[in-house]
Amino acid sequence: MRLAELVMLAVLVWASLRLLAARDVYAQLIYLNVVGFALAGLIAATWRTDMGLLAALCAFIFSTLESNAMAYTIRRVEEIRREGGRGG
Amino acid sequence: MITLTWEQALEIATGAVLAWLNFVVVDILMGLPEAPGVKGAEAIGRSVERRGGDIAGGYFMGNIVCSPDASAGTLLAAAGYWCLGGPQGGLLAALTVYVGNRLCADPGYAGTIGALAATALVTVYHRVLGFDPINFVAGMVLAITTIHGIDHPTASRIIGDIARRLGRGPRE
Repeated sequence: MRLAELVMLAVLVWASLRLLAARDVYAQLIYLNVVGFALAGLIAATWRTDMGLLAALCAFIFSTLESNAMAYTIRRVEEIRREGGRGG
Repeated sequence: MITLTWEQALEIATGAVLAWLNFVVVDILMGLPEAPGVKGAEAIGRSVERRGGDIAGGYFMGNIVCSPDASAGTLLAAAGYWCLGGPQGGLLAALTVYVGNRLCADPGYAGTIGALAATALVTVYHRVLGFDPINFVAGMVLAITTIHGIDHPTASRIIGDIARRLGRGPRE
């Protein structure tokens, strides 16, 4: 194992712990993004092949796609709740 | 077995500085702090502002989380260079980031430009400086941790300050 992999592993564990400890759901999404970075880096570092690259690319691109969907959905639910509260 | 040397630490630190400068400069110049590019980014930006941060930095962070931007481009271009052993890996990553932007309904080109700039940087890092490209990938992971992994309000204020100095403050 190289120092590079150790650094990425440490960041992965650190961001995961921060994610679990965070109260604000949007802050959790930001920590989840760091987990995505470290995970994609580790995948590429571990499997130095074209399929390893494909796995890292897909893991990262789709994690941002999911974060976008989650942030949008949570916001929409908040808006609907607020409108419902006002309208009675 | 873990092999640790000072050379590796120096290479990772150099990679972190280059990667940080690359994605922060490209993202700010492409207008990430000005407005949320996708719907989810606005919610994240407002949350950072609510916790005592800066709205420009908040939009910047929201845009990074919700769509592949220059930071994603930097990471994936370096990973591509490492896996395929040359700049062609970075070009493949740039193409993937372009497709990812369109999937996220993001109108911007920050990710693609960031990936191409990072490909050039990693090529210099490997061919000219003689460093191992995997250390650039680890450097990029450290660089994003300084923005997203330590303290969001403080990081957003620093980014907001740089953005206003470069004339890319929030459009409101």
